[in-house]
Parts: sequence; C-alpha cells; structure tokens
Amino acid sequence: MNLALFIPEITLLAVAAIVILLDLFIAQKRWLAQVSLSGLVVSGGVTIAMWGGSYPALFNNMLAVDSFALFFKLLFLGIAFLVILASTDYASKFSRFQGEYYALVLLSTLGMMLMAATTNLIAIYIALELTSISLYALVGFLKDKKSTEASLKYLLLGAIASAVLLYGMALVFGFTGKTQLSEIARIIQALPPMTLLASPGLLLGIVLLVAGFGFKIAAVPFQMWVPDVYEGAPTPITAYLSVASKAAGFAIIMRVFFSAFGTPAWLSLHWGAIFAALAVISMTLGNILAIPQTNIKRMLGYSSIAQAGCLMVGLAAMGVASAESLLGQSAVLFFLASYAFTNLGAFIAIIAISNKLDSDLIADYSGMGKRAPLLALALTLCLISLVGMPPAAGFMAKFYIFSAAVHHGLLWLVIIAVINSVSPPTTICAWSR
Amino acid sequence: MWLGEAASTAHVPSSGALRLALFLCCLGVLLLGIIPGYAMKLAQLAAYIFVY
Repeated sequence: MNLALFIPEITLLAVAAIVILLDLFIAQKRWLAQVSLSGLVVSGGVTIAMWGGSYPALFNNMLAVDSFALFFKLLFLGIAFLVILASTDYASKFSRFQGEYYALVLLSTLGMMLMAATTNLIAIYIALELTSISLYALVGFLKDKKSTEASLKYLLLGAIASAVLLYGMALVFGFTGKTQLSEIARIIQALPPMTLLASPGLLLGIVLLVAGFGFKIAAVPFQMWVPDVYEGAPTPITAYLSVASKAAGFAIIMRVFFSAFGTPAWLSLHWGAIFAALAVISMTLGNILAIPQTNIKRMLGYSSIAQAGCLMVGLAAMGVASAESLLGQSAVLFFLASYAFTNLGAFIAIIAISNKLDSDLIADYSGMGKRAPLLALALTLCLISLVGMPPAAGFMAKFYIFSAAVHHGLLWLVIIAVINSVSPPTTICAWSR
Repeated sequence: MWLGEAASTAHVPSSGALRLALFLCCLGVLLLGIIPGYAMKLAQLAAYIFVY
C-alpha cells in the first residue's frame, strides 16, 4: 500500500495535533490560524499534485484515490481555508479555546475528505461520525444559551439520523452479505428483479439510507435542525455547515447510490424518483419558509434547504439517466462548487457586519450601502448568485443542473424548480425593505 | 414598510483577513458565472468514475 497517497489526510491530522499543542505554549493565538491555514495549503498542494493520476485504492479497497475524491478534497480544503480566514477576528470571542476551535475545523474537514473517498459502508459510517462529532462541538462553541441549545439539538437529531443510517446499512449488509460498495452492486445485479421486489428488506434499507443522508444535506423532511442550529452556532461555523457539510452529504450519496445501487436500471429509477419527490418538497418548503424570517442566519438556513432541493434535481437526473451519461453528476459537482463560493461569501459578509452590529436581525442591516459599501456590494453579488441571476455562478449552476434534468426527461421537475425560483427574489425584496 | 433613513450611519470596519476571504469568494462567484468552462471540465473529469 502506498501511504504517500494518504498525505493530504495525514497532513491535516498532524496540523490539528500541532495546533492543539501550540495552543498550550504560545500567547499570540493568531498564530494558530496561520498554522492551520498553512496545513490546509500543504494538503491542498499535495491533492492538486495528485490530480489526473491513476492510483490504487488504499486500506484494503476502503479508500478510493480517484478524481471524484480529489475534487471533493480540494473543495473541502478550500472551504476550510476560507472559513478559518474569516474566523481570525471572530475567534477572539472564545480566546481560551482557539486551539480547539481550529483543530476541530481541521478534523471535521479530514472526516469530510474521508467521506468523499470511502467505498465501504463501515468506513463511510466512521468518516461520517468523525465529521459530525467535530461539528456538534463547534456549534456549541459560543457557550451561550442559544449556542448550547443548538448544539444539543444538533447532537440529538444527529444521533437519531446516525441510528437510522446504521439501520439502513445493516439491512443492506443483511441482504447482500457485503459492505464493499462494488461487491454490493455485483450481488444486486446478479439477482433476478422479482427476487429483489420480493425482498422489502433491501428497499427499506435504501429508504433508510436516503433518510440518514437526507439529514446531512438538510433535505425536507429531515431539515428540522437547520434553523435553530444555523442561528445558534458561531457564524463561521454556520457558513461551514451550510456548504461543507452539505457537499460531504452529496458526495457520499453520489458514491453510494451510483456505485452500489446504480444498476439495474429499474432500481436507480426508484431512488431517482425518491430524490425527485424530496427535491420538490425541499425547494417549495425552503423557499416559502424563508420569506417571513427576520433573522438573516435563519433566512439563509431555509435558503440552504431550498438549494438542497435544487441539488436533488441533479440526483434525480442521475437516477433516471443511462449508465453512459455524466450530465447529472457533473452538474451536481459544478453546483456544489458555485454554491460553496456563493454561500460562504454571503456568510462572510454577515460575519463582518454582525461583528460590528452584534445583531443578526435583517432590520439592523438597513443603510449598509452607506455604512459599508463594499461589504453591501459583495453581499448583494452573493444574494444575486443565490437567486440564480447572471452573471453570477448561481445562474450557470442552475442552468447546468436544469439542463441535465430536461435532457433526461424530467421537464415536470424543472418546471416546479423554475416556479420555485420566483420565491428567492421575493425574499430578497422582503430583505431590502 | 417605506424606504427611509438608516438608524445609524457609522462606518462598519472589517479586518484584512475577512476582506481577503470575501474577495476570494466574490472572485469565485464571478469566475464561475462568467467563464464556467474550466470548472465544468473539472466537474466532468471528476464525474468520470461513474461511467460503467
């Protein structure tokens, strides 16, 4: 086994340990952010150097080192870099625990990188827990009433989602006797369709997997944690949750559902239909509930639920597509990258403004065009992108994902998505009052 | 609600690190929106593992 292929992950783990140790000895805590950023740059550099190569899987075929995993590793490292950069001032609010703060961000990034690369159900669960446990602690970092309650809610609901996911994995294992995704696929393909249909255990297992992963991506009806956790968490962590956690969820969904349940075609049609239904209710509910919000973080929380709905249009396209088509998959990846820049930008502008105002109420943002014109301009650009208007990334992302859906015969889903796209401008108008 | 004067006109300062992070995000939003070809190509390469 070539451990050199594992250097990006080992680097992050080492830097997290160094940051915790440094925190004990240095008085100038700003160095902790710089060490963390250096670690992310090194890890990202190694990942870029690996791009385009063909590598064997690691740890008895549990971790793939393919272009899909490398794409997501770069995305997570970039997101963590921007979040830590945006946290340098904010982290002074918890001066005694800055080392732990940066180390937990690095460890959760490590968990997400493993999530994107794992090809085994057990390794998927372990990577998911590494990510989740770090995030539970980070959400409660402000230690005030809202932050603590948000952390507790996230922990309890996350534990239930983990149990559901584990039960789904157990059913899939019980049916196939395998935990490796490629072996699960091989066994399912070898069975006649009637055997599969007569075994509700496997279908229930797939439904429970959708529910477990649906919690990570904040899809309706597994979204109940989003508003409170987004409002209570430190704002940089809210930004991190809204993009990195969602991207990790989509990475694992794509890997599991395409690698293990991608064939036979009737099975992928079934899970494609589930994601299409979830997309419709997530877009509709997320957009409608965003309109009356008065807290900007809660508003963006509901917006992120609607954006998850848009992303699931791509998953539905993947489900109904033929095995040779890559349109749905590449559209989801492009959407995730553009959503990462857009939502992080919006949250970073909010961090800058709320640092001064000490308020997340939308009403307190009035006059920002005069008080901080560049911040207001940047926030406006990000909101335009969230709406999906040109020339911002959000427009291209929605265009790409809707094109994939139309190409695979999901015109009805795109019509619903376009009708839903009317809602974000309404929300922005409501904000700009 | 009608348009009106803001409650305060005090300047809102932001640190260099925050401005850099925001600049990088806005740059990403504009680049992916105006010249998305390279990122789309990367996404297609990354998705290539899904071809049977």
